[in-house]
Amino acid sequence: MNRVGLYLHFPFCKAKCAYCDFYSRCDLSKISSYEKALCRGICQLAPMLSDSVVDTVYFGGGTPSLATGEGMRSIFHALRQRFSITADAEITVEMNPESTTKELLITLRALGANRISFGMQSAKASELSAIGRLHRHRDTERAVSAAKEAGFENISLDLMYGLPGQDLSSFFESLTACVALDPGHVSFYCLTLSPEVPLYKVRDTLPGEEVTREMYLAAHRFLEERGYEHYEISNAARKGFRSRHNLRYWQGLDYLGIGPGAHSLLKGERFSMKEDVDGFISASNLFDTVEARETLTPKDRLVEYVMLSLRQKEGLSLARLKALSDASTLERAEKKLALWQRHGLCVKTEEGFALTPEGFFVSNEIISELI
Amino acid sequence: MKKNIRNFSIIAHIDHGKSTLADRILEATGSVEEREMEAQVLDDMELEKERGITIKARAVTMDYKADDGQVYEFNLIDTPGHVDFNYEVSRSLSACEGALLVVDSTQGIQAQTLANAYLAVDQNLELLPVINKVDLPAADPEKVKSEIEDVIGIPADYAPCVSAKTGLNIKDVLEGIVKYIPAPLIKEDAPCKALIFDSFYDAYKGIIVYFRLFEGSLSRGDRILMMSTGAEFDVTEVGTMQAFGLSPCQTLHSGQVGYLTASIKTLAETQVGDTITLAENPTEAPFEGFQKALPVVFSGIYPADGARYNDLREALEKLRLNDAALSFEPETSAALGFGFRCGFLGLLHMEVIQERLEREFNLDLITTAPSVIYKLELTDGETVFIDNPTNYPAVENIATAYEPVVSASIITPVEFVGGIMDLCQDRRGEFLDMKYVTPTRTELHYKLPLNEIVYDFFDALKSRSKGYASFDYSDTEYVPSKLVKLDILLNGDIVDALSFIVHSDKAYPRARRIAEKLKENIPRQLFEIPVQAAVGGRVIARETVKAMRKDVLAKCYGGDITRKKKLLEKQKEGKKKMRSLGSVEVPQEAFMAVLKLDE
Repeated sequence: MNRVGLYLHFPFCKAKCAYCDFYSRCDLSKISSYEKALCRGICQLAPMLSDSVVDTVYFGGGTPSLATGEGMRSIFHALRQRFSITADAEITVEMNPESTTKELLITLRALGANRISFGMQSAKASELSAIGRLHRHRDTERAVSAAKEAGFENISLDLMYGLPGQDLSSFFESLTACVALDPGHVSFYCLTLSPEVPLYKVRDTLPGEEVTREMYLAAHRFLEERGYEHYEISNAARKGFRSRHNLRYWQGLDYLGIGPGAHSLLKGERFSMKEDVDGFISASNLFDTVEARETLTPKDRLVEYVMLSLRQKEGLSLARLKALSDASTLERAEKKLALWQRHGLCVKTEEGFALTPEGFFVSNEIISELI
Repeated sequence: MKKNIRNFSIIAHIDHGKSTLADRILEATGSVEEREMEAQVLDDMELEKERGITIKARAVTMDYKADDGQVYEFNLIDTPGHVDFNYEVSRSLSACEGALLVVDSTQGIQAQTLANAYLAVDQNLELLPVINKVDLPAADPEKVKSEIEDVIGIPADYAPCVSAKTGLNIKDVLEGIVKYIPAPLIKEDAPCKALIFDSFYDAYKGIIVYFRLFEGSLSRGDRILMMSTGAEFDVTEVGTMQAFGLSPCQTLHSGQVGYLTASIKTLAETQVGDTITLAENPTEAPFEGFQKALPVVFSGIYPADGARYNDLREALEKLRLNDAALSFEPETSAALGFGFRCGFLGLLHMEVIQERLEREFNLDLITTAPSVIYKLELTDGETVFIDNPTNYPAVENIATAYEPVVSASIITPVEFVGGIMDLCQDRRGEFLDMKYVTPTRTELHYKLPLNEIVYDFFDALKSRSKGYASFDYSDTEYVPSKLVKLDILLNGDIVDALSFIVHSDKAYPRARRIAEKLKENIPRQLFEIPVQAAVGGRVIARETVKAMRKDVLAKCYGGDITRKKKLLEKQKEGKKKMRSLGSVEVPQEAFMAVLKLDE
């Protein structure tokens, strides 16, 4: 049986964060009709996975914690009816601390969700304000303990660095506050601004490259020292707590995304759905909202393998690279490898090589030299 | 039939309106209908039109019915307007009896006006000054006339005052040609003696030779001899050049200007300045002053994309079909791969060739710093000439080094004299004298090393004079000099393509500037890159390209792999434009930046 991951997009937010360019809407009145559309979508798309089992489910957003309990019940019902979800499936729901309620947590746990990912971002009120987040750290503390009380053992916290007004010591405070909540998994993302977002206009006031780099390397050391394995460029986890769903993305494994703007990879084809909530709600056939179909060429497979494998601690296998490319790429890789190793950007592994934290932080350049 | 013939050129500084005047003359003689007139028939290369200069000589024959009732055959021989092509200019002029000296009435005499006027005077040509652009508000024809009289020393009171643009008073020019330019001396009974003033490759007819027939006649079927090369050919076609194409005829006579074809394969066999005569009945002696066009500036030209080496070779071969002065031979560089060492008549010639390669053949090029020819007396008594820094011998093997030095003339409004003198000083110029052309304009004379001129001198001169100064040079001589070879090292490795030869007094500032420029133009890489400049193994300047600190796409959200992949592929594309020198990626701009240091 094929194993597949399922991504369900929840494109609503109370307010758009000043740095976010993902697709979401702030008109919350559409939530319940969207939840119904999602159920319909599950039914329509299920035949695509008739020969597969689903072993990870991920509710992402937007803000899935804005979903109604009623809606979640229908969605889980549809999921279990239409897909064969394994007993040990990892089922994650992303939540924002300020909109997390005990009731929803209890409902989700009862429906079978077993992992919560909280957008903590920072422990500092000034930094949270600067990026337009609505919560404060006490909301995060309350939400985490509510999740634990509801029976969630697998909790992930997202942190951000490179924020306006942030410095190395305030980032340390956030790291410390994060670890104090004892999550099994920590993500730490660098603030990246695209020209469309409001925060773009203050980009010159952000911490410089050098400080941002220090923050990244500090997070690596801090978390490793406390038992979190830095297993992916922006993720660290205690043993047994790696994000199985996200690993699918990085390992080139199949996943189906449902919702406006959601992405899928199924049987060598990538596609996404239009970023249009109204279109999604009104679509009689969801296949009509699919766009950007892309059948992966051998070159795509090579590029994706290099770019995704080098995000991970396990790194790149030269045998696999050889299978995907030609002799010249391999030769070039081996030549570069020695140089990068000398400069502390990568380390040799049994199968090939992997980037060091220093290498991760310049990985675009490294990847583009290999592909 | 005895014909009334007038053979003349038009000489002018760039932009003083030479080509426009030629167009008006063509119209006024009825050679071209006004409505058919694509502006500037004589300049037929796209690049020439854009730059407003004439690069290759062309010629055209027209009939003019003068006020005296007679018909005159006008042969207008166009000349290149730039110092790089002085030799070609002098050959074109020597095919004429007179020349129109066009001067812009808003600008007055400029360096090339003078240089060309002196060339014409050297050829014993009758000069007819033409004061152009009198329709402009800033025109001051009387002042320009007195400049011509004072500086060139020819009368100008009868000079037509025209506007080539509007066609004002063009008739005066035509009548002036009839009246002031002498008819050619006809020697019909002598053996054939003709001067080649241009030749070019035509895809259908092969090489077409333009010539002025001084003595005797030349007919289709004649067997001709090129006196400098000794090559013989059978003439397959002779005729005249009309405004809209070649017009074959049976025979050309003494005094006429025309063309011939003779199944000639290469331009090397029909060099400008050579004498054509008949193989059976040759003339006694060729024209004096024949020179092979010799390149004086050399540069390496490489395709930015190494895979396009063959395209570059084909493009150079095609250009050489019409430009005997262009020389090139294969060259390899550790840094740049396969390319060509090209020789040019001067800087403008070099720029024109580079631009044509890029524009007409769609090539992306990397060029190395232009070099002149150095003369070296070695300790073993041998004398060598070096045009490529790569071949420069070790210092201990050189007894005396010589570099070419030219006599330069710069005409500038007086307010820029100070800045220009500083520039010449900085370029190791030796001041000779300064003359006032008018109370507000000055002519400066300097001895200037050619290697200082080829190095962005024009740009520097323009920027220091707001574009008003004009420049010309001649008379190259070799003088002893303290020369050193400056090497550039990236990450400890010498980049051969960046080496150049420089006067030892200039080595240190030049080295520092180049190191700075490279630092600015080489993007940060995965690790620190030392940039060093060294003379004979001793490092005299150093900069560091710092290591890249952050280049990461941290978030891979919701499985949107495609967007990320595209970003990385774009980054990869950007790298293709860079050259890998050892472990260092160097963008094309870095090679270009070191060619322009005066900023």
